[in-house]
Amino acid sequence: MASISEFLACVTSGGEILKNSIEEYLVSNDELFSLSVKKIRTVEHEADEILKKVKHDLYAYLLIPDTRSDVDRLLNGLDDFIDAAKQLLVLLSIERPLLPEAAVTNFRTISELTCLSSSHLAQAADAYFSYPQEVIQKVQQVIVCEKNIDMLQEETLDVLFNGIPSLDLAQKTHITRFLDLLCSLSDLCKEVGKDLMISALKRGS
Amino acid sequence: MDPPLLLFFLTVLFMGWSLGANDAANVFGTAVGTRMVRFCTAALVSSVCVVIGAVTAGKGASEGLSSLVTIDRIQDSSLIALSAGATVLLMTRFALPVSTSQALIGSISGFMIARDLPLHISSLTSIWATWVYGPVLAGITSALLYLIFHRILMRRHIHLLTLDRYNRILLIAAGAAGSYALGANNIANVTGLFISSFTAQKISVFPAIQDTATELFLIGSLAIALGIITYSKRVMMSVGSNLFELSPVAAFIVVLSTALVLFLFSSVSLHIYLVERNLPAPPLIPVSQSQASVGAVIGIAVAKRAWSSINVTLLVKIAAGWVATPLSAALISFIFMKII
Repeated sequence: MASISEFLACVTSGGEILKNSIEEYLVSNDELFSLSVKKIRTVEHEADEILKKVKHDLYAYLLIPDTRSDVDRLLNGLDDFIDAAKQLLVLLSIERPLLPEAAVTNFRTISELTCLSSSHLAQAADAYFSYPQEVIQKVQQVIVCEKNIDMLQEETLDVLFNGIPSLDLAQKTHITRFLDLLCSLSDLCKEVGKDLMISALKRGS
Repeated sequence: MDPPLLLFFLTVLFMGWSLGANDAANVFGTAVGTRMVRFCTAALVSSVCVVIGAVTAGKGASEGLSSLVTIDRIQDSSLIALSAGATVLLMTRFALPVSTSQALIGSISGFMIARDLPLHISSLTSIWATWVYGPVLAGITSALLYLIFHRILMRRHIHLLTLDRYNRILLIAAGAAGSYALGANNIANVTGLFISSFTAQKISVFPAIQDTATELFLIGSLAIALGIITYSKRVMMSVGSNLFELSPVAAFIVVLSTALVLFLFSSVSLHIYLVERNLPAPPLIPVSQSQASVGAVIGIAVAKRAWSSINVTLLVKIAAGWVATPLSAALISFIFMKII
């Protein structure tokens, strides 16, 4: 079933596009940012199409219902990641929050870590199908990314609410909303990864 | 129809049907319970293989059973078999693990005591020994097979979906082998006791079949097939969804190990081969498929070093069943023989 690999490539690609888009937004490169938003829409659409085919094959050929539900949950989780990444970039392109200079570095690092997290997750998902014993190690990397993002999120919030007195509350809330949206992507990766670890342990038995 | 012949048919139908309904579940339970194999496929494969196993390789275990006693009256054979059947029902009623093979040995012993016939202690001792080493052998076989398959899977990195396809084929193949072994070994429980009485009284149900034993094996295996087709689905669904929480690969190994052990206790050719080479040859007698399956499951738990998952209570119950089943059957058979 080659389409699973294609779907996982979409996840990795989604993470990459997210990282690049945020970078372009941060450096105010509007043209490239708009192009990236278009790209993520395409990737998301492509992922949906592949997922439809994979799910059809899954129900047609995968015979163990328990395993089928594990694979189904994994693919849905990964699809949620791509959807959420697209949603974040679309909102970013519409609402265009004003990011203070003090928060830019953290936003950049968070987006890089999110990209890394999605890449590790895609690798873990790939390993699940042929090398289940490697899943735990890869998911642990996802968890490490999420922890670091959590720390950066707290730090950014502290900067926003205590470090920049000139920022008004509406602006702080607006930025916080995007920060939450960005950080929720790694939370999603962690949750999918945890489920994947259980599925891999079941496969190992 | 002749009353003894009617009694024979009722007995064979009862024993065969219950064997088919319950023991086929051990063979195809996981595959059907997890919906990897459709019940129709499982029932068809199982029924055909049981009949082939019984007709082509049923003689070994049946002759082993005959070494205990030779019964010339159909009524006596029927009463012994019915005593065993009653014991199985009674033990099942009290939710105790029970083996038809053990019940039958107990019933024969009860019959012999009631008729003041000498007990063949040496034959009985070798049969008792198989009750212990049958499951142990299944356990060792499954542990070894598990380690081999685990190593292969670890090295080959087979894709989940490919593995799934292999699993399905392997489960059907193991189910066919298990059904064949079940027919070859456990047919003795259904019709083994009637061979001497049918031969002595020169009775034939299908005149086209010259050999009495083959004729009886065919009738008995058809009764088993009837049990598989009419009632085993319910038991299979219960086995697959509630009790047998094993991965498909482990389930395949359990079925294969059980089939190998049953085959070892049934195959005349294998027995001769081992004897000719001065290798230890197990006696040809009917053994409990359920207990061999339990042994195989424990073997996998040991191979996985999952000691805590071994159900000690079930082990104690099985050990108690080794004593309680033959004793109860002997008592029931003794009472039947004295009353009737």
